Amino acid sequence: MNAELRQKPIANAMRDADETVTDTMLLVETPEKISFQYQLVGPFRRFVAYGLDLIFSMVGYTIIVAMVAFALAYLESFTRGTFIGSVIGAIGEIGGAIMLIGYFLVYWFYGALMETWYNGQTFGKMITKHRVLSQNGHAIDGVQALLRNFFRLLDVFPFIPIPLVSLTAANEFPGIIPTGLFGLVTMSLSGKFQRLGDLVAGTIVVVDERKWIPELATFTDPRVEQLSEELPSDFSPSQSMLRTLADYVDRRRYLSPETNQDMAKGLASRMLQKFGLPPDTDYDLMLCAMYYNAFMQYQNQEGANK
Amino acid sequence: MKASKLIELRQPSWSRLETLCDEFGSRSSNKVPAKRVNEFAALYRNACADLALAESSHLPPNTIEYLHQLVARAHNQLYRSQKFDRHVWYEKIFVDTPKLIFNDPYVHIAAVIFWGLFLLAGWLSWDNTAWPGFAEQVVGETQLESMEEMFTGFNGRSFSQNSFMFGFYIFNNAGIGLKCFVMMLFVPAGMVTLCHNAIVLGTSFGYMFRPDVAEAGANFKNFVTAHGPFELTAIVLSAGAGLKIGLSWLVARGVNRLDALIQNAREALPIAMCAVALFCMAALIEGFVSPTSDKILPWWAKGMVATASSVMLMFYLIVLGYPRTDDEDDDAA
Repeated sequence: MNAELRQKPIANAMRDADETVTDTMLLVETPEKISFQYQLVGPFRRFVAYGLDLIFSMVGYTIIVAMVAFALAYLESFTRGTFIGSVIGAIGEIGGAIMLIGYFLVYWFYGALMETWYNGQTFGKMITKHRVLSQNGHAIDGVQALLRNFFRLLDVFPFIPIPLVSLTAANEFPGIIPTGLFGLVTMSLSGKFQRLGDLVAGTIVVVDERKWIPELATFTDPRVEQLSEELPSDFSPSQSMLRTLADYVDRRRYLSPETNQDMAKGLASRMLQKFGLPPDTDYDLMLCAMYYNAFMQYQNQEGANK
Repeated sequence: MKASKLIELRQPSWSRLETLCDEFGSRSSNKVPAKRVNEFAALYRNACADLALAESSHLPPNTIEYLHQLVARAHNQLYRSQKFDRHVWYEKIFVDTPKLIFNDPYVHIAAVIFWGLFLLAGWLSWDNTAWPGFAEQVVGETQLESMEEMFTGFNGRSFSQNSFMFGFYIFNNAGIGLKCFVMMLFVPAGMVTLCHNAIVLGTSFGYMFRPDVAEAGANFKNFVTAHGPFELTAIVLSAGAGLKIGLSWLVARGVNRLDALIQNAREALPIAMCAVALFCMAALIEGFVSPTSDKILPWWAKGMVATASSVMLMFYLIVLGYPRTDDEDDDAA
């Protein structure tokens, strides 16, 4: 194969497992000596998960507290004087304390406890299909979960000072609207999309969702099969040629026939020449036939053994 | 074998593995039947083998990509997060943490800074001759007056007020402690927080103990005595734990800065959690013991509470924390 072919015009660098991996993937080697890749989650998708978590934790907690308080007040109004009424009264005495302690626990520990118990996921991350892992690809432990959630406090810095928003509230709340710029900048610079909390705890966030097994391409044109029969039986394409063929066939249906001809020309014309086939064969058809031959035909002896 | 044949053969076992991943989901592992776990392990190993041989068995790139994703997903289910283990935690709380605190230079630095500034500000504010008007300049005249007003005629609270304030002290004080811990990642910002707290607290103490604020001063003394030891120690501990993290990446001592940060954060967390526990105990005392009027609970009784809590702290930090020789024997054996 000549130099031009080795350039792999449409092959994606991501797929070359032993070459450098793009910055949205993380390569992990398992105890089974297998290397596989995780897809890292970027800042804006993670922000969605964080927003959902805020709703689940703080808003959810406030709603629950309000509902319990109303329910107790309602019950108390017609059980006054009875034993149940006095029990409710006693709960009312310590109700404020329970509410504030609960708020403290939800504010500081919701994320950490969820991520420890549910294997790196909070409710928000379950919805957005994210999971927190250690940098080395293993599950996180309680210490990491606590650290990364505590240090979120710094990630939401800096706060917009209230005077920019409202002059009347400026004296009471010096700065209240978090911008999250610290986290955003850290994630952009850290290479694995880690915010400050992730750096301190040594964690990453990856995509964890079910994908459908990709199908091989199907060809309606019967000439593809016919032409593939014409290829020499010892035709065994190299790894990079296989990639190129697969990439081409995956994408050809999104492009116009003229573009396909242009793209296929470089490889197809040389292969036609090499196999001694007529040079006016359709270039697109030629690559499809090579794909069919490489991935789909059952004709060699290995296939017969199974 | 050609790719299409292989995919056809392996597809059922891959989708079975996907289904099991979905099923295990985020459930804790002991709720999954053993049979499923065995099946899962076998399928996982097969998927690993498929991935390992993917290149040589000429699978198309998108199938390889799919296998990467599948193995990663199954790997997440196989190696799961560790739950909190009770025995490990006992060991952590009563054996490891006291030693960690006792030997931690950063806690010592934080203690010296906090107590130094606290005492200095207290003396300047109380004496009022070396730096006249120190208290007014630092805390502000209106703040001092409102504090004095708050403690004049302070005569206990009702039970429901007490319990509400107990909750508030946990929410507020433990929150401040954790904020101080986190802020210390940027040492200057954290230091400002620590020094600010030390100076304001010291100044308030000094001011309230002046002879000319007699009534409010007596009530103030009555209020702060009981919970003082726990709360002031907790501030020092959370600042010290934060300082450990904040300095770890600045002074990495030849280790990769990120690795040093992760390692030190792991060691500092128990100290911060210890501080949170102390804040909660202080809140309990501050909520229910401190505000009782001196007719019910005289000042010496509160002094006893303070002494008892100091003894407990000493025991925890010094007796349990002192590096003992039998540790080395254990290691040798």
